Amino acid sequence: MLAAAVTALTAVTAAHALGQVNAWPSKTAPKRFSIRGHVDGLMPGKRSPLVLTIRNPWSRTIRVTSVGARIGPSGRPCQLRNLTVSRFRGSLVVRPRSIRRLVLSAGLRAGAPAGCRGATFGLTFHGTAVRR
Amino acid sequence: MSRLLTPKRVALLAVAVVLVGSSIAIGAWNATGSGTGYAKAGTSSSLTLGDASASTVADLYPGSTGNVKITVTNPNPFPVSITTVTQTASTSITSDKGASCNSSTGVTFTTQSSLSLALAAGATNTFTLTGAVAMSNASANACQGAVFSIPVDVSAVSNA
Repeated sequence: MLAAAVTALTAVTAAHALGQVNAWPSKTAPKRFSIRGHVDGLMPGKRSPLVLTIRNPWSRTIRVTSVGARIGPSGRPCQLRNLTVSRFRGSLVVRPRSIRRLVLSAGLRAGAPAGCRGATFGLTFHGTAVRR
Repeated sequence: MSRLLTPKRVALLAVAVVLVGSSIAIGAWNATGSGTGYAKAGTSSSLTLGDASASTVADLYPGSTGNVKITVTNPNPFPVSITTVTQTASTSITSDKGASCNSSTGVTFTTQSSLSLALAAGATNTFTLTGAVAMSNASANACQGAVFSIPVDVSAVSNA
């Protein structure tokens, strides 16, 4: 039992050292495509581009039909309603095992209070696609 | 064919099987995506005060009120609305007459709240605060003709 634990720990450490930790086990296809992105320097009353990176992990082309974001609390006296993030509805083709960029927009409400200065809101993205 | 499997029932069952099969097939071709990120607000710069002094020396005499002019610069890339002007805490109003007047100016500043003074992005503007300053009978004779300086703090909100 101890030997097995030591072996497993060693394997993880080695994988990290090589920088080749797979996001998913090699024999298991991921269930979802990934969406990542962030935006800095938001100012009241102005919208800024929120550049998203969409990664298709599958061996088939997908057509992304919608992407949205759920806004999480910033931990500051700045209510969620002060931040808005646009949604995407349309058709964005992402080829097999490749990455495409999608630009949404984010903005702080014009009357955002001083508590919003420097606030960082967590964003959780969700999207739908059709696999071809 | 048995009594349970009449031609009509077989046909209905076939349709049902086809429908179920279709829904499974369609479902298999849909995919969902997820991920995380963040949106970070920038930080604003403080407003800059260029000047805060009684508008004209002739306005003030014991028992009267006068206007105050303030010159404010907004260094931010967005417009603001000045909402409050208060005398800076733990400060005194002074004059250009020196100690002989400053020992007892008799001048007080009234906090100005609920203001709505628009100031464009990167702009400098002078605002007049009507009746914001008063002089009492406690004002020393040396204060005649004096120009008073009033340290103030200005609060504003974004006004995009």
